[in-house]
Amino acid sequence: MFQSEALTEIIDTLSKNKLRTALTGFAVAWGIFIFVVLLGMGNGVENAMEEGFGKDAQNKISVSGGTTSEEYKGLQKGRPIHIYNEDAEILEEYFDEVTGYASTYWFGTKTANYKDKNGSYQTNGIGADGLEMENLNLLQGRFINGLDILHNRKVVLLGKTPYEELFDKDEDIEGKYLKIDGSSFLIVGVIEYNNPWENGRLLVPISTAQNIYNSGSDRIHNISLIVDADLSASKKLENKIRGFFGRKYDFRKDDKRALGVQNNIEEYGRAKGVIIAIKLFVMIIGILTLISGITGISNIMLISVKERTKEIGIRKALGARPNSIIKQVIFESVLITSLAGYIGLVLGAVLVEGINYLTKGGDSSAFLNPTVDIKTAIIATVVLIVAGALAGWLPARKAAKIKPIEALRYE
Amino acid sequence: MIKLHNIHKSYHVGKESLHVLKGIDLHIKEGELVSIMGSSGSGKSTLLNLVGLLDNYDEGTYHLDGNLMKNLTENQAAYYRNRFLGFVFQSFNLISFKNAQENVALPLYYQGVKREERNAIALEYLDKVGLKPWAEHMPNELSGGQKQRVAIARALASKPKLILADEPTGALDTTTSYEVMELLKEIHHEGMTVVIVTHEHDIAEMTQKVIHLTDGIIEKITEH
Repeated sequence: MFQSEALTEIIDTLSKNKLRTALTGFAVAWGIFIFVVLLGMGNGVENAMEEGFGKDAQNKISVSGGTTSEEYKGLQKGRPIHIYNEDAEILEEYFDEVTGYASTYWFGTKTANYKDKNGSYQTNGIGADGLEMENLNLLQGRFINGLDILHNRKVVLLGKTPYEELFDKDEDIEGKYLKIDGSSFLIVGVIEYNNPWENGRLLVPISTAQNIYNSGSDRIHNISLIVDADLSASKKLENKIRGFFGRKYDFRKDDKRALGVQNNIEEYGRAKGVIIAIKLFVMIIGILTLISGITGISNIMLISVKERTKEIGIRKALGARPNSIIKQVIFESVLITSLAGYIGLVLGAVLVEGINYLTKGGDSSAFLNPTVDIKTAIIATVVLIVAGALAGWLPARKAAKIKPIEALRYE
Repeated sequence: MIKLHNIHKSYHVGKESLHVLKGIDLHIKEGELVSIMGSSGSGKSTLLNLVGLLDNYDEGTYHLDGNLMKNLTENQAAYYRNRFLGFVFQSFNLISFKNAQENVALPLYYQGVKREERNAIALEYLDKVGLKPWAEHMPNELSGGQKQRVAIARALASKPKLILADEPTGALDTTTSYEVMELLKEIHHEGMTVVIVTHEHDIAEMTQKVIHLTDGIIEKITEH
């Protein structure tokens, strides 16, 4: 039915009515363009926030010692609260929600050297579980394991950054030793964190760290707990943990500064809520823009058909069948909307990709990978095309029904 | 070619009913050059519109080239308009964004003639009305007489059996009017049936047969 003859006639008519064509096209292209850009931005914000959590275990609660800010049972405020190995074990034992834990002992920055190269790196003592919790990528060798901790082995796991700075490219670490503050540690592996700024670390078994740098004390800085709980349960657990430590180390349980508790479940939930709100907002604006685009085509098609009533009358007098009139108007509408929709889609995608390219590498960016969800964009374009067809069809059908003599009289 | 028997037509405006044609009997034979004369309101344009299938009648029978034209669907009407009839209007009714050649080619488009062929035919008919050099011109670049000649070329291009002209000289000055009439007479000499509606006596005088219409009935028919 749809021969190239009809297409030629339509293109002919469209190209002779440039302003009308351009206006209709613009309304559509603009609608799609804004929609795609908004979509991209929404995704960018979402990706950036997701990345901020760095796939860092979202079911994690970490606890660290702080300083009391209130007097309690005759004890002065400003007292440091220290936590110890046993605390982690007790937490796991005592609370059902806790399914695993890892302790960390922070040394601070230490000087490390290999052959003639050296550098300063944040050095942590770590329990074996901690590595699984952090969602790390093992580049070479193995993680620190339970035996390393049990036997206070002098082994070290290198972050990506010290490895790159101290070793040749692709150098094998097997059997090599790294000197940290003058003592030799056997290198067991190289790891990469999701957050690039965490890659500058050296990790040693927590027991080794406590032995060497804290003269055998059990003190730790941080306990990461893997928790099986939803948001409200995790908040309750947080409260119970504060109560437990408050009784053990004598501070008020609502003295927030005495004990640092970071509840990833809560923070992730809150961030997720913000993301959903932003996406919803963006979606609503996008849909409103599309509606204004649709209104634009409908309006222009309505006016266009109206001002062409006489032309339609002439065409009918020359032998045009009603269907060919309707078909012509609809295909005109569809041709404009699909072409303009495509242009808007491409321009929007180009802009979004451009922003993606420009923000790449910047690490504090609010956007990350502001990609266009091509499926949604295509659905939007199809909706506009259908709307355009409908917008053309309704008035065209009316016009095609008018008796030719009335259409001819129309001025 | 045209056989009308007892044709009635009324227009309804609100509750008012206007009886425009009150029983028309008319026979126009193939190859005739006929004019329909009458003052405004006599029903002459209505009659032409019925014959041209641009409007429908209430009562009676109408045979076009032996085919009964009654209760036609839009598609059937479109077919007969396209294949049997060629229109020439007082206000030319050219499509403003198409040039002379494309306007002439338009009825052929609805006949399904390929672009190249219909452009060639259009040029041929433009040549016939003496406007070949103006083929690329848009309607607003042409004079009234030229526009009407383009319209005549358009009416002829589809090789109809019948040319219907509604006040073809109504918008033209006397000299131009006579030129247009000469053209229509020439077409008639080549064998075409031509029906012209006019209220001008001198125009009607140029046809073989004049049908005088008064108040919706045929008053008399004069032959020259």
